[in-house]
Amino acid sequence: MTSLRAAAARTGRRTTEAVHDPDAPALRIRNLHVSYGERLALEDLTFDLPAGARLAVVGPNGAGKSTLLKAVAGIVPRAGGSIAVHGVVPEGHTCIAYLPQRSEVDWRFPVTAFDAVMMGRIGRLGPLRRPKERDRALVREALGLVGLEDREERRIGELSGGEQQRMFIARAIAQEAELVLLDEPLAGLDVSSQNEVLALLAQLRKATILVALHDLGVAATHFDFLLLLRGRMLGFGHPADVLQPEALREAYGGALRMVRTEDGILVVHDTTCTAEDRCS
Amino acid sequence: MFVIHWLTAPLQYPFMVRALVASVLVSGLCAVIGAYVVLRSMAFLGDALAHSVLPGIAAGLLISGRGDRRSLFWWALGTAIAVSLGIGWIGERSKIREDTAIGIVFAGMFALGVALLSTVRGFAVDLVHILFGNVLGVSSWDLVVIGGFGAAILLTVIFFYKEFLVVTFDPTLAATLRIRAAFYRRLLLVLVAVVVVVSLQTVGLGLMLAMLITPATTAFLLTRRLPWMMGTGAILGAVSGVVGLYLSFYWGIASGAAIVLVATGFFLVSLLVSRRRDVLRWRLRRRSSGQSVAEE
Repeated sequence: MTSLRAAAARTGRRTTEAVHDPDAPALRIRNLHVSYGERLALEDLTFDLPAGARLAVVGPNGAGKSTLLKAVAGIVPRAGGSIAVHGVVPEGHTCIAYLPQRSEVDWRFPVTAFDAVMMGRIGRLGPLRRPKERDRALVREALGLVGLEDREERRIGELSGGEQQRMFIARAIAQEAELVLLDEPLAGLDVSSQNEVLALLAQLRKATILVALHDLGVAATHFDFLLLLRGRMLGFGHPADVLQPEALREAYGGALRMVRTEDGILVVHDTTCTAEDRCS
Repeated sequence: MFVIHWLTAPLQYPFMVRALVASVLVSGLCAVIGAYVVLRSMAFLGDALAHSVLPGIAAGLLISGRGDRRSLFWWALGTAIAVSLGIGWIGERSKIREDTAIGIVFAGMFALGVALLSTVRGFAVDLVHILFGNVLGVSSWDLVVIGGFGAAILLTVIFFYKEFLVVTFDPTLAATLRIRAAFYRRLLLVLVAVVVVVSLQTVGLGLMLAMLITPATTAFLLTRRLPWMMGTGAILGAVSGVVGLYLSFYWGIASGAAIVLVATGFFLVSLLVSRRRDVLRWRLRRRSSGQSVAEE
């Protein structure tokens, strides 16, 4: 409870942007523990991620993927261990963008796509400042980069699922985020919208990217690094090294079928729900 | 000529002029703050705040006597702010769900108010005024209070517009942007509390909730951006206030109830209009591009 309050106080206080340590990796996690009340959601996580890397976080439901992203964003407290983003605790940064699952957003809210992307500038502006022409230009540029320039006056609820996800990415761009955390950005999207989102992520070359994903196939083909998670770390590294039968069986239990094809690639059927898993 | 006479006749009475000014100010104010109440789904909280003011008023009655309406206002204001901060505190610190906490605090406070009032001889008359308001009894001092607090509230909303927007839209985003979300949430609760107390005189505890949410919700159906929602809600609220008072004047309907009924009428009309408009818009879009509908 004390750490929860301390974290709330830390995130609550208005901080000036933390100074990045150029020698530190984009993300350094050491012995990270996160708990919700009694339940330990993440246990003893340790890994480094270099700047500009793109990491897919995979694992069954309830594995702690969202929890990890939120901990890195500095919006859930750590029960133990440390997180350093460019050498500094996450709470000191305004350069971290957290893109929630689409289901967590109130899409009936009366804001246009332009307004929603402008929200990314607000942390940069500080209290009592109004957006200036430069901010508006950045927002338009971000909307253009994700192909939503003709949608800026649409109310957010009138956008399609793929457009909503691209609008989130535009918000991260407008925020000038250097670490972008995406929670299940492909969930509920059709294949062509998924591909648009993946293509956009590939274009964000300046930022370090963490994506929570369900689809192991997408994770293996579109990302440099892969983290296999089920409360604790079952593998971290290049996708081919991580996607080993033993680790996958440990992560997914019986819910997983693996087939070896001619060129030795693992084809994985992922129903993500095991009997002993709490499916929510 | 008849219409003009019909419109100007009530204005001969100073109490009607004060009532009109008060209801326009209060309705506008309620709609602006009501926008946040509606969008954050805090309707229950608004109702609870209005009701939990009662023990403050009762304590004021017991301590400073019946005649002193001005001190009652400060008692009510103090109670409302304390309760709003208390509810916020319980919601952040406790395992209890916020709506449960609100329910307990609200019912307990209301009971305390009734208990205190029941010790005052002849409380029934006071209770009727507190429950239903009496816009026709607004004094010049009341107008000064409404105007002063109203200006302060509007300035606060303008100054912290973008912070309130993000905190209302997405608390998680507010946290990652390092906005002091807890502070702005509490400030918003205090604003709701102040608006409730300032508005009590016009519609009373019982109908307070309608002033907060009905015009704001009507505006929500008709507009696409928050500032427009606030502005449209304020205009609708003000019109409801004026029309309601005229109905009250000519037909002898209780003024608070008349205002609320007009506002409810606007809501029903906008519900029909927006339903029809959404269907039209959807058909137009389907005709213009098969592509975007395929995505939806």
